[in-house]
Amino acid sequence: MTDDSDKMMDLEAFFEAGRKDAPEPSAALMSRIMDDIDSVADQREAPEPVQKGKGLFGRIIDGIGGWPAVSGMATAGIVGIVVGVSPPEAISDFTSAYVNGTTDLYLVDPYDSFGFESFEG
Amino acid sequence: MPLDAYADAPDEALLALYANGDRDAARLLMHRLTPRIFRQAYRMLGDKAEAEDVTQEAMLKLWKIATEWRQDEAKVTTWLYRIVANLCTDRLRKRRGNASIDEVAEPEDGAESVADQMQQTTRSDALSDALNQLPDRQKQAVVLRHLDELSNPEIAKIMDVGVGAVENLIARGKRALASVLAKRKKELGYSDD
Repeated sequence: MTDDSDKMMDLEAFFEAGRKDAPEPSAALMSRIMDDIDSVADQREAPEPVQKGKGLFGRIIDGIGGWPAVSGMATAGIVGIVVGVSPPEAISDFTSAYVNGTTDLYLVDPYDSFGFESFEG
Repeated sequence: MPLDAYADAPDEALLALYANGDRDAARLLMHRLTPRIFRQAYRMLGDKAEAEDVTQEAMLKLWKIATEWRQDEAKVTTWLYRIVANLCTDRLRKRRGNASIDEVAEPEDGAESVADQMQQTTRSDALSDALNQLPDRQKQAVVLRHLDELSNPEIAKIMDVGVGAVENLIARGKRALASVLAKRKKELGYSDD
């Protein structure tokens, strides 16, 4: 314990010497820091670059939801053209039957719940 | 605006003035704080050029954060000391090839005498050499407490630990320092009485 106290007393003398022997920053460092003060302030005070307004096309794209929406619409359009030019078999049968077939196909029901008299004459 | 007008203004107020475009306030802050953090960096790194780089980097971070500084947050000095401590720790780790701080062994009584490695004879240089034998966290705590003369609660904030941990680091650091320096007592002009 005595030995520890003795060492601590010695340490105080070393700390005091260390505090007195404090190095000072060089003038060059202070000058660099001063430059930083100005450059950071200059950047902060510089006017924001003016953004050009969007054209008609850009506004339309924004209006429909941006480029993701445009790509979805383009895909749907292409699928529509493919189906129109070369329809799958099931759709082809239905279309030809509707246009040229002997079977009557109606988009509306001609015999609704009160149309049974048509069959009875 | 002459610097004298701000002489009594707290650091946080000067930083706010700089955020609002007053560069003189920043210059005053620079004159107040740069010597302190430069000394902290120098004592941690033991190299003036590196200490200057760290000081400039820390001050630059301060200027950049000025507009976002919240007055109710930490003191500017505490924040800066912490930045410097972290920057120094990063550099010391790189020097040691990314070895963990905890892996750095404390000097022991049986270890090779540092006297053989020391060229300087002044107490200050001896202290500096001895500090460099300590693990980074212990060195940091001892430097902040005994050379920068900060309070333990302030050091706790800087090091992001509890006050108890700071006291422990300082106590272990001082024991290790005493152990290293005791071996050079005669050389440094101390008698064994």
